[in-house]
Amino acid sequence: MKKIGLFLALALVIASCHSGKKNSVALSGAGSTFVMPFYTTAFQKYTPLTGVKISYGGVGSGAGIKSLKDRVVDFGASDAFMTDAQMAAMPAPVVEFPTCSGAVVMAFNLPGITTMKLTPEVLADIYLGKITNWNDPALAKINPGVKFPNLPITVVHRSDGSGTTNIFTNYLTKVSPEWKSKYGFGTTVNWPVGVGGKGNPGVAGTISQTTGAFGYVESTYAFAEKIPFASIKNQAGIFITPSFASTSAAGKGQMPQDTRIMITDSPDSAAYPIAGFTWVILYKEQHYNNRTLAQAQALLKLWDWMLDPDAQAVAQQIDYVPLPASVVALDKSILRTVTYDGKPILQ
Amino acid sequence: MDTSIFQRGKTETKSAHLVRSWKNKIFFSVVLLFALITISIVFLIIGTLVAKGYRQINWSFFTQVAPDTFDAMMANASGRLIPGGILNGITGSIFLVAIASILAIPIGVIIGIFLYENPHKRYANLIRDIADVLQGVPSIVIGLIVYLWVVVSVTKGYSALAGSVALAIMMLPLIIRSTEESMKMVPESLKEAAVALGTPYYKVILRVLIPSSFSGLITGILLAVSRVLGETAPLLLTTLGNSSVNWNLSKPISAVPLLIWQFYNDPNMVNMIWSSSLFLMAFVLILNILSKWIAAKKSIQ
Repeated sequence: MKKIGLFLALALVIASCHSGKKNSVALSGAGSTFVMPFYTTAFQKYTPLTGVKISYGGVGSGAGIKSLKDRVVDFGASDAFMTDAQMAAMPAPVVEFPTCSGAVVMAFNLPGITTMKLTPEVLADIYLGKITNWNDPALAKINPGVKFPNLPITVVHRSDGSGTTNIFTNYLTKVSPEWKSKYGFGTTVNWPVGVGGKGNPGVAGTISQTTGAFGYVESTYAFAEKIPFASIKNQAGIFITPSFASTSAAGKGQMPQDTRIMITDSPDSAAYPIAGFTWVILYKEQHYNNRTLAQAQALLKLWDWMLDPDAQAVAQQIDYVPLPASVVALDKSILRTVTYDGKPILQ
Repeated sequence: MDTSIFQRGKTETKSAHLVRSWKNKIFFSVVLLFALITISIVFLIIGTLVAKGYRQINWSFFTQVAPDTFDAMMANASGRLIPGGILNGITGSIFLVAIASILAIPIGVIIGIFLYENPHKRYANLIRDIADVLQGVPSIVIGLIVYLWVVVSVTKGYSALAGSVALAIMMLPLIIRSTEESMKMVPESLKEAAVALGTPYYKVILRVLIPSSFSGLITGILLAVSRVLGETAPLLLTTLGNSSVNWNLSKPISAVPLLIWQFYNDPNMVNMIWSSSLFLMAFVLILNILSKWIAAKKSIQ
């Protein structure tokens, strides 16, 4: 038994040394669970092309930033851009850039009802706890022809810190002065009403299992699980259904140089108002922790490729929204500011 | 008419007897009820997993790595089975547990023997208490500590080694206590006989104590393995996950519970959650039955 154990140990050590030499470039990243399906799918396409192996862990946006801060991953992924305070807490300057966008949809569970229109005011009132029953006249007024049941509204929100919550509450802050003054926006807020669900799957699950439930989820979840969702009146006064085109329109506005922008409540008349980007974060100077130039080059080439049409098409296939060309150009210029020993890595 | 009561007991009246027999019946049915509740939970879990997960279990489930979202989405849309499997998770779990065992078993067994040989020394009691405390440390805390000790300081990145260390820490107290307990089962006379024949003490331990408590040791180890096999929290903080098969200690690695978490976060992979859970449950169940079987064989000898 002991000999077998010893032999096994030796064999494993030899095996690990051996395989360690063969594929010297391997990258790792951690963060957002929302964007994980896009990244893992695209990475699986990238590995056969280049031989670079990438492992990504969906540990949550906050944990992804922490991992990058501890320098145990090559990149972090977050659904909320880093605040100045978070940037200051990092051990070295970082760059961040969006990789795709997504919509947050208002999903509901009402027997026999598959479409619904919502105004920002009514939406805010439901989350403020002012509208508590589906038979409220305010809902009937904007939805002529829809027969709402006499049923209490079960408001659902996220129980964990989340980029989805950040996008949704940012929207509420823009459309409701009362929400802005009382609760504000962030990855977690002090909800006045509702029940919590863990992660997008938790919220989607609660909604699909509770008659009368209403809550916000990333569009991918509503699409995949076929949960009905509402169209929302945008800034231009048009009711917009979340879709590829309307989310894409939301991202078309002017992008600041540091890419830190919320695209909720877009003025574009074709834009769905509750949408947001997801970001990737890297260190600006890649020579740290004895990292090789090859490692840094592999990392930069990967993200350069992720912005190219091939990878962005993968995003579209699985219900994420590719970046507009202007944002891709800005992202690529940001990637070219990343250096190794002070010299730009990508030309 | 009263004779039947007198037959049962002279001091007992008819009503007292009735109360007594009813109490008996009530308590029996309460005990039965709770036993049934416990049993039915286990059967409900297994039943649900089998009902929801059996469809995905096929040859490719064990031979291919986790599918990507697009393939799963296409399969769902056309009503086909999700292609691919959990090979990266299975190999990862086996690799992690193997390394954890190599780290934890020798240390655990040696400490267990020490505790058995010095049952009442002050240090022995201290060690025993500390082992008990270690057993009570929440797994997420172990994950955090190993993140600091190994991920940040040693491998400078998420790695299979870090995951193995976390699992080894969780296995250690279980192995220590089960070693000590199974050594206690060895008849004292056996040891005395060996010592009386002039056997050196280290040989008594190696040739008498360990072989005669061997099945007990294996049982303890198997239980420790099945205990850590399903751990997710410490792995989330130490191994990160990997979409391909990895045999490198210093690189991120996947594991079955990590894959279940990953599938849970992807709306297109719902069916994979159930089949992976079924696999994990079956694996742990087999280990448990195996250890029970070995333990039973020991008691016959």
